[in-house]
Amino acid sequence: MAGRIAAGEVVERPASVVKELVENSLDAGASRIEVELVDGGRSLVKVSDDGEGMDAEDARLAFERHATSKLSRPEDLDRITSYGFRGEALPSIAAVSRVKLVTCPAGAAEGTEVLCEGGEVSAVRPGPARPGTVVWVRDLFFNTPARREAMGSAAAETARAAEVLAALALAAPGVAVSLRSEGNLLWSTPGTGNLLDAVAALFGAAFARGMVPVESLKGPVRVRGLAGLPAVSRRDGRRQHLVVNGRPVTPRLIRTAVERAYRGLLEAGRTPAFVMALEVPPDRVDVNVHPAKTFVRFRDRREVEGAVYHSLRDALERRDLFAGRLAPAAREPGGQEGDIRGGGVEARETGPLWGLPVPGEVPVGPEASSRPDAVDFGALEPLGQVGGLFIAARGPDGLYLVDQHAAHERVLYERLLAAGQRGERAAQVLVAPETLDLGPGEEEALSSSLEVLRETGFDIAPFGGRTVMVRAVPAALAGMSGARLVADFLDRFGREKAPPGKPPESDRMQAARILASCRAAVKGGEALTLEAMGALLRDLAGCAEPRTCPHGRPTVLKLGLDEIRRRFGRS
Amino acid sequence: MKFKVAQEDLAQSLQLVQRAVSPRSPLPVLQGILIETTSDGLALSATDQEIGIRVLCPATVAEEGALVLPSRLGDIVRKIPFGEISFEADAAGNTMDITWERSRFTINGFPAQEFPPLPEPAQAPAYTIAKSELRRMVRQTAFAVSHDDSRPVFTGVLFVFEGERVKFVATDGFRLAVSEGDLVDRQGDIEGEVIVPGRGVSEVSRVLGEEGDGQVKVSVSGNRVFFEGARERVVCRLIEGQFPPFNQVIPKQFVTKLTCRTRDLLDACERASLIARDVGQAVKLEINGSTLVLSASAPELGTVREEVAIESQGDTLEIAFNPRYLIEGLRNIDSEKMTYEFTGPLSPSCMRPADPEEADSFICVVLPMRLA
Ligand SMILES: Nc1ncnc2c1ncn2[C@@H]1O[C@H](COP(=O)(O)OP(=O)(O)OP(=O)(O)O)[C@@H](O)[C@H]1O
Ligand SMILES: [Mg+2]
Repeated sequence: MAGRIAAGEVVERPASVVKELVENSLDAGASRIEVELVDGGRSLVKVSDDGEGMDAEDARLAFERHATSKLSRPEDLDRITSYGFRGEALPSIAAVSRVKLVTCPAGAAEGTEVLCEGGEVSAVRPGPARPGTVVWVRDLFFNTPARREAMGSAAAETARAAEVLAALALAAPGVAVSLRSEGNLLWSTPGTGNLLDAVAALFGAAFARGMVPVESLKGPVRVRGLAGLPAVSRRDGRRQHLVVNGRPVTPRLIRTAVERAYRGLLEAGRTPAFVMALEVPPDRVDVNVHPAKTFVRFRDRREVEGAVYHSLRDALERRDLFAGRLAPAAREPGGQEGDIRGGGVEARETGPLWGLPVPGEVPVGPEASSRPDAVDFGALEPLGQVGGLFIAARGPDGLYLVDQHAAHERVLYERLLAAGQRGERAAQVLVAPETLDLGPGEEEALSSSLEVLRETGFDIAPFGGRTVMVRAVPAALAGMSGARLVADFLDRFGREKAPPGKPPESDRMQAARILASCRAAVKGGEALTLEAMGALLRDLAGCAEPRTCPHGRPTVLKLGLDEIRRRFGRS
Repeated sequence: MKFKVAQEDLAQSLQLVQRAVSPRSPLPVLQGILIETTSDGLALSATDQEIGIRVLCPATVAEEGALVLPSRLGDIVRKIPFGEISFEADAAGNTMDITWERSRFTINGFPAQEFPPLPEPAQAPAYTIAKSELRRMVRQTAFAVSHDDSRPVFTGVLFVFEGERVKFVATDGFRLAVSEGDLVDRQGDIEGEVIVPGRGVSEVSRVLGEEGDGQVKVSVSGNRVFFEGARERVVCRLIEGQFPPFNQVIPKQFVTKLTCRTRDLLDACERASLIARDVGQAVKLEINGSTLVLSASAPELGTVREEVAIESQGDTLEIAFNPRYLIEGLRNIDSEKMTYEFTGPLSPSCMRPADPEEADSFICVVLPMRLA
């Protein structure tokens, strides 16, 4: 009975069975792990590995509680490097299911088979001499009906198990991991040791093309992994994977650092995709803080956040952030639970570029991700305007399209920012004050934004009742209706709640600047002379972040010479 | 329909009407130019519903008729060598043969009945202005028209007819320009006010004011205003609404007043604007006795400081402006000397020609910038 209660901690659903068994296989040094589910794992979870296996004695002991082979001295608890350390997983699983385990150490003449049902070992007998271990877990929760009922549909449980397995496969790219459900292969990673290969196998080639390598060693923290370009950013917050010392943990641990690194690069509401593997000396991280081991505690959290932030900035800094848009962009599959189930390389994800068919697949691999994507904005030379919206420019390494509005917005935004930092708030006085009638709820929005609006240069004063008077507008916005600008600003804040935990003032200030730059920037459809285009490109080159507008949309798309050659069949 | 026309006459007329063609109109016929024969030549018309232009072109008409031809006709005619061109429509009135020397073009057209008729001007009220005056007044106000369509009246020029005089007024909310001139003649109402879209005003000055000393008759009928020259007519939809009381904005007193050579101040401002070239950057004026110090600085570019010789009355003053607003005002002061009156560092300033004879012909009120 004690076994069943404790099992609740470790075994919640088929996904937890998959997790525990695969972790054991990884601990056993497997290079190939195959997982099979039947009925979402409710009928069967089968995990086979080619790891070191167990002899007959160890195989029997494995079903005894706290019989771990992985910690021999008490001080080991402080420097855990294996997945398992409690000696709890197998007994807990066996307590609520029917387990068969077949194992054999390499070179042994004979293997061992153990049968265990509801926690009682019913047989230990000789088995086949196949090196490695295979575990069948049948009829999960057969003896605890309430928990059996609590499981989700086969599809939902498959999706959860796939999610857990994918996280482990990304943590161990050197191990070939495959997943089958009802006999069908859902995906398999090649086990090359290259993280990008694993990502391509799990999420598709197009997605992998949207990732750039991250690599840094800052102090004691080593960061390695892949960061997603804006093209593969998501609205559903998924495709974020964090691995600490080889162990998949919740990506929330580094969320703030990631958000900061991506600030201004993504459109509102989008989150970046990333796979980050941190190596932290074992004595600087505590893994034993959560039964499911998905949390760790860093001894120095700032040290880790700093390392993550800087490595991401370095990786994103000199990239053509939107390479993924000109090159065929990744499609966002449904965003449903079974997200990665249908993974695998989807050749269909490669769409036409500028209306031209794509001849063949673009190779995915280290060479694809390490190609120099940096844009030398200063070297761009305008050729003309396209559609009244875009500037076509020649660069040393290809053809560029610049969104004139987005580019100008970026330039103005950085100027406003700089002026704000210098403490300037130049304003243009109006010929006659403009009045603005506030709508319901806008009074509050105005009073909470008044300081910010004044700080940017607006001169606003009450005019009795729900009416306010605008007497001056930020100098950069001279020429535009002050009342309309204020109304726009309030409109935005009527809808947008400041996210908790952030200083609202700075958010609003930023929003005010973004709004201002958007209003003052040249509009799409405005004709520009070559001279004006050149000036805009030069100004853009001088920006700290020339690649996006302040809303996070791209300013530039690039069609590299190699790409052009390839598409003309001249490669 | 059959006529002969000189290439240069037709090319010039087409160029004038072309501006009213709406190239993206969902109505294909509006993408064309209506060509009609008249008693002594041709009438060419185009309209985008907001503006309509009609131009008469001398021609020898052999057979009357009317046809709408695509506006590309202009490109074709421009490429035809100097000399006489013959036009002949087919019997059904669907195509036009264009022949010159030994060449022939055949282009497809639309029946004239599909073309919406341009409204006819009323006899009164009507006001006659000299072309040169019209040209000047348009130039002195069009620059101050707003491009922000949130307040439609600001996107137009207000015409105020007062007895023998007419005023054009434009403001974008940050500066105000008033230009005044004489009427040559008048029929009907003595007083009247209309707001003409900025685009319409510019087209009028281009079509009617381009050269020569002729006169232009301005008349209002319904929600349209008509401008008629000897051979040209422009129709324009009026902007509805109430123009703000502009007279209240023009300062009646000053705390500081300067007089200087217009050119000196304009040149100095233009040079300073090379430094204060970004949106939102200011040029500073310091007025003290007989000198005006003009300065600007941009963090990434550098600084400029210039002295301009002036005569001044009243207090010393420091004030900042958007250099573009100053320049656009100063460029429209046509006389050699100017006066500039200030009412305080954050209140309206007013520039105008110094010569008392001309002092009312042009006024530009510019609002300053507040720094920090
Ligand atoms: N696939 C396997 N290959 C080789 N040995 C295994 C395998 N699975 C389990 N074992 C052995 O069985 C023991 C018990 O496994 P179990 O998962 O219950 O505990 P653990 O991994 O040591 O700790 P934890 O409860 O934290 O997972 C392990 O210590 C290991 O020696
Ligand atoms: Mg284990």
